[in-house]
Amino acid sequence: MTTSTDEKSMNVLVVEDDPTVRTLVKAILQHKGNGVDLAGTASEGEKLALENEYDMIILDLRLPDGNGYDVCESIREKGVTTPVLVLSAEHETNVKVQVLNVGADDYLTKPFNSDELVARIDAINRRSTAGDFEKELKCGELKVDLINRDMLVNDNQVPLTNNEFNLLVYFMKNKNKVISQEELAEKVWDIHFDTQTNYINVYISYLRKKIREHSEKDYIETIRKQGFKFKCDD
Amino acid sequence: MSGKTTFRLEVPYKLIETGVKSESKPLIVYLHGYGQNIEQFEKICKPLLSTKAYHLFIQGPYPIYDTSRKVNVSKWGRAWYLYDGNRGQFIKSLEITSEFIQSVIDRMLKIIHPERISILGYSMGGYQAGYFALTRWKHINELIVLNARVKTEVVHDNWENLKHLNILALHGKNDESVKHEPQKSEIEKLKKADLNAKFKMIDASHKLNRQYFDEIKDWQKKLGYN
Repeated sequence: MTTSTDEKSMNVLVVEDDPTVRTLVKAILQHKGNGVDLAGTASEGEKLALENEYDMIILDLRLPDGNGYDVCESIREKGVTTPVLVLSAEHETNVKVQVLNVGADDYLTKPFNSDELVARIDAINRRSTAGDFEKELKCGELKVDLINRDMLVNDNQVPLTNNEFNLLVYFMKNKNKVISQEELAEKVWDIHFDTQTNYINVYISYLRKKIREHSEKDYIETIRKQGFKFKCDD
Repeated sequence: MSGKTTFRLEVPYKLIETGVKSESKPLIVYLHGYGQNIEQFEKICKPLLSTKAYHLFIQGPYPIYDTSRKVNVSKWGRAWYLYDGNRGQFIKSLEITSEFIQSVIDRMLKIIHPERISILGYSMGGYQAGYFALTRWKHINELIVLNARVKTEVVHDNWENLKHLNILALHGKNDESVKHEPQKSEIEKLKKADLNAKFKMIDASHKLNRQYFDEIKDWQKKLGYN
């Protein structure tokens, strides 16, 4: 999702009452291949933001029937998480802080040039996806909390060592795929040479044992001469 | 005729990748203290570089003139904001520097895809890191503040915004430069707002020692850092 020419186009809502700015922003976005909806008032902007799914909302602060803060705050309260870029003629720090506090992703002070606008939209898109990290992994009866580093098997908490946890997470992120011993050594232990020991088998047996304490299923399958496969039906 | 214009300065940064190349991992942004620069701070923070992450050292944008004239400009110390007791100027420069930090992070996000973003600041860099995380809360997951105060006043009671944030504040018991009490009460305020914040005193002065880094690494480990 980016306005750059190298990736897919976006659907953008522009809420701006000034016809000159509105036309300029629309032209810049359309030139990059994006679809644009326009709203000239706060109420119209809020209505469109709630009714449609946009990839980005560009929101002016001063609107004839209200202000951008209220629109942003209101749509956030109603569960709209679309990235919002606020356009404002205000240079005051408290205005900028307030904009971010009500859930906008960034602001751009007027006047701005087209490169600045495009760069800011691209940056917001990248930031929005950067924070989307996984917090939980699930596979059948297994649940892994990546933040607290907990494993639950059929809702029973099972204590794991660091190595066991890292091994399990790697398996779950690569489920139903044959993973070689070398790959596990490199990705889980950061070992890039053959240690001539069977530490991986040892940790796999620990992990199997701990899972089996609360489950009948064998999640880790040994694939002869190839490695292992973490079986996950869902 | 009079007015104001902007002045462009070149500010260095350094990105270090540790762990398996290109594997998904966190981005940790480091902000040094007053009078330091990225070179010095990277050396000080060396114990943290064993964590598998993208480590981004950004230099403060304000150069501190070296009156001895013996030091090359690139080695001068740097500051994060202007502070002369004037609150307006202080907040304004914190905000402008936050825009600058965000622009450096944005530049990095063109080439790396971190799974989470953490910001760590020491002393003056700690004030800046706290301000950055509390205003740019949408894109920050962890905040580590060393020997500084988290300026919670910028939150304006919008505590809900910060629910996802993990905050660690470490402070030297014998810190004479920045007193620990104000920081302690700020963290209490954050905890009262039901945020995941931790304050710990370290048996040290204002200067960072090994204990700070051990504490940070333990805390990061509990959050899933390797």
